[in-house]
Formats: sequence, structure tokens, C-alpha cells
Amino acid sequence: MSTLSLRGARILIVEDNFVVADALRYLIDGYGGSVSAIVPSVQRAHEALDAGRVDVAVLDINLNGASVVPLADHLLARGIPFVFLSGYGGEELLPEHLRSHPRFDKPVEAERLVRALLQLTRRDPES
Amino acid sequence: MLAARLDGSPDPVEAGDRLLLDRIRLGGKLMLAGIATFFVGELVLHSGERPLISVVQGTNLAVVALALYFVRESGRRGFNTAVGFAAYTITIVAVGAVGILGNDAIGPVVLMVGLAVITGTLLPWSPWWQLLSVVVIAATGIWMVDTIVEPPRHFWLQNLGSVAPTLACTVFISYALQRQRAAVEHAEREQCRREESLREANRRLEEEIQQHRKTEDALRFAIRELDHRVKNTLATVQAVADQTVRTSATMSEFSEAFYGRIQALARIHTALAVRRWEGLTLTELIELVVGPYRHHAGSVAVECDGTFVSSELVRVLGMALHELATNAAKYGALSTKDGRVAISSSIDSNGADRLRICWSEHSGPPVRQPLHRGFGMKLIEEALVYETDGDVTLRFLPVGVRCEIQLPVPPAAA
Repeated sequence: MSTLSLRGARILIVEDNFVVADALRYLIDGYGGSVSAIVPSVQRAHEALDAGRVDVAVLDINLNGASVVPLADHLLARGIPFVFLSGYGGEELLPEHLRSHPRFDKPVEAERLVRALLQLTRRDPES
Repeated sequence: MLAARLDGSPDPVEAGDRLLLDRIRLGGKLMLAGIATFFVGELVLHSGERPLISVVQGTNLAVVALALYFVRESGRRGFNTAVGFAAYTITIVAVGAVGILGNDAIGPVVLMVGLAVITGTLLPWSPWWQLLSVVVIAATGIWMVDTIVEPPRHFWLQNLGSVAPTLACTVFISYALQRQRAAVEHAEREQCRREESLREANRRLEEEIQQHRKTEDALRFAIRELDHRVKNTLATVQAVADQTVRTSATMSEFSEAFYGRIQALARIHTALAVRRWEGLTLTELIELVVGPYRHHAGSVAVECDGTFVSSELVRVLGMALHELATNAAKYGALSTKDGRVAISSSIDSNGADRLRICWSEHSGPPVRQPLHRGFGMKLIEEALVYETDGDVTLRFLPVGVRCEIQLPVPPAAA
């Protein structure tokens, strides 16, 4: 566990449940990453993207009934990688072109999530 | 032929067929009697005095006898009708010919008109046609009696022998065919009715299947929704555990705080499930999360006038209220018997509606500013603001903790 490090990576967390979002922030802090913001909605996410650099994003698929897909498309266009978090088991909420992106079921396993984030920020997990 | 009827009542077509055969048998006997009478009149009494009349009458007898033979197969309905019709026509012509040859004008005219009427009975058979045929038979009888009274005496035997059985047979055949046709029509109507009721049953079945399919879809949706809720709940529990561990100094501190939080979530979940996830009134929610920390009825005063909280808001608001309650039970007004908590709510209709909740403690032990911000305070101050775009002010006043919460209210709630 200690070999994994997110040092230097700026990560945006988009999750509508405060407790879960806050726990994710602590999780990423614990791996040396830097959380640029935790936000509950797509609109807040855009504000956070405008405010500073983001290397990778963690996206809850369902944001209090609203879909995160428009935000994912925006990130895709800006070349910012992302992973999905989902309370739903299936892929039915995601359009075809987003299904190849990493997706984690809630509750998320910390190490798997961190490995995926590392890979997306092109850091060698074994270094 | 149709199969046996489902309800066990006799098949009308079969009944019609039996009737036809009965009539044909009776007609056959009549024909035999007629032929015998004809030959007695012809050979014994008449002795070939008017050969042409004898030929016509004999031919007519033969034709009707053949017709009787041909219509005995009940299955060939169109053919039977044609044969019956042909027998009539020939009988009419024969009777007319006999009248002309015998210089008797009235009798044949009566018969021809009558037979024309009976011929009509091959077409739709109504009580009026039946009545007319009875009149015709009566008229024939009168004509017969007339020929009996007027010599030559042998002539009536000849007429009785040929005309009466042919007339009777054609009426029989006509009647039986009509009955048969009525039976077939009845059977067809019955068939239609049964098909209609089958179609109706089918339609109802189809509807039921649709209903089942809808229920199944709803169930599948509900299961997926349940899966979603369970996963989110587990994620919340995991996060609460993480955060509680992080902010607890000892194991007992952890278990007290963690179990308290999980218990509050569980009570909220149970109440929401009972209400089918529609939401709770603020009074109910306060009772659920603050109620357990009451010392007595006067410890907590709630004035919330049935304000309704939607299910999305219930969890986060409930958790914040739970933290206020545990804090009060540990350090504040609910840690002593004399302490009081007053909770009130109101709706601010200043542009967009906002729900204001005021938590106010007094008469408790003196309040000190907390040394560090724990997870509980974070839940009170940040969670509602984060999730609802609300506004929370938490103050540790000397008289007691005061917390003012303002939340945007969805239009439906009030």
C-alpha cells in the first residue's frame, strides 16, 4: 500500500453525498494526492475546473438524480482522464462511448481506485 | 360435421339431420302407399283409358321417389336443396299437365298456385308460408273430394295415388330442408358467438399478460433501485466508519460515536421505508434522531408545524440533527435534567422558499468553545451546505449551543 503514491496529482471529486466525498478526499490525501475540490453537482464541477488545474477526476454517475455524462463529455473534450463511481451495477446509465472508462462500484476499494488514478496520471505504481 | 358440443346440449345440426332423415322415411312410406294406389287405379279401374295422364303421373311419382332417395345424405346441403327444388318444379308442371289433359281447370290452378307457394318455402321458411301450405293442402283435399263425387270414379284414385303423395313428400322435404338450414344457421351463429367469447377471453388474457409484464418491469426497477440504495448506504457506512476512526482518540470513543451514527441512519431508513421513501415531517425526523436523548418530556420542545422533508433531504438533515443531539447529550443541554432544547422551524417566503430550522439550547451547563473540529461538527456545518446549497450557522453561545439552518425547499414541499 505504501508503495502507491499520488504525489503531485490534482484530483477533482464529483460526488453528491458529502460523507462519501469527504472520505474520498481523506483517502486520496492519504496516498499523497491533492484534492482540488469535492463538488456535489456538474455545475460546481465546471466552476472547480475553471478555478485550477485538474489532472484526473472521480465521477459519481448519478448526482442526486442528474447524470454526470455531460461533465464526462466535457472532460473528454479537454483531455482530462476520469473514473466513474456507481451505486448501480449495470452500465445502462452510461452511453456506449463512455463504457470503456474505469468504473468502480460503491463502496469503493481504496487500492483499486488509487491504482486506476495512478495509471490515468501516467505514474508508475511500482516506482 | 361439428364435434360434440362443449356444454353437452344436442348439436342443432345433428338434430336437423335426424329430422330430415325421419321425414324422408315417412315420405318413402307415403310414396309406396301412393304408388300402390296409383297402380290399383291404373290397372284395375282405369284400364288405360287416358294413357298420357298415366304417363305424366307415373313419371311425377318416379321423380319425387328419386328426389327422396337423393336427399337422404344430410351432408350435401346445396345439392339437397337443388334436388328438392327440382322435384317441386316437376310436380307443379305435372299437376298442370294432368289438369289440362283431364279438362279440369280449377283443380290444377289451385294446385299450381299452392305449389308455387310451397316452392317459396324452400326459401326462408316463415309461419306465413307454413299457413299458406296448410291452406293449399286443404284446397287439394276439397278438389279430391270433388273428383270423388263426380264420375268417372276411378279418376280420384289415380289423383289420390299420384298427387297426394308427391305433394306431401315435397312439403316434407321442403320442411325438413328448412329446418336443417335453420339448424346450420343456428350452429353458425353459435360458432360465431363461441369464437367471439374466445376472442374476448383471449383479449382478457392478453391484458393480464400485459399487466404482469408491467408488474415485472416495476419489480425489476425496484430491485435495481434497491441495489443502488444498498450500495450507497454501504458507501455511506464505510465513509462514516473511516471518518469516525480518524477523529476518535480511543476505541470506546469510536464505538460510541460510530454506533450512534449507524443507529440514527437505521432509524431514518426504517421510517422512510414505512413511508415508501416519500419523506418525513420534520417533527417525525426530530423525534427519530433527537428523541432517544431526551431525559423527560420537557427536555426537547419541538415547534415545527408539520413541515415536510423530502427523502433526499432526510438523510443529511437527520445526520446533522443527530450530531447536534449527541453533542448536546455529551456536553450541552441534554447532558443534564434541567437543560432544554427548543427546535422550531418556519418557511421563509422571500423569493424562493427556504426552510429555516433553529436549534437552541439553554439551561444546560456552561458552554465552552470546542478545542478541535471533529467529524460531528463537520457534518453539522458542511454536509447540509454541500448537499443542499443551504446555509448553516453554528454558534457556541454562553447560554447554550445555537444552530440556525436554512435550506432551499423544493416547490412541492411545505
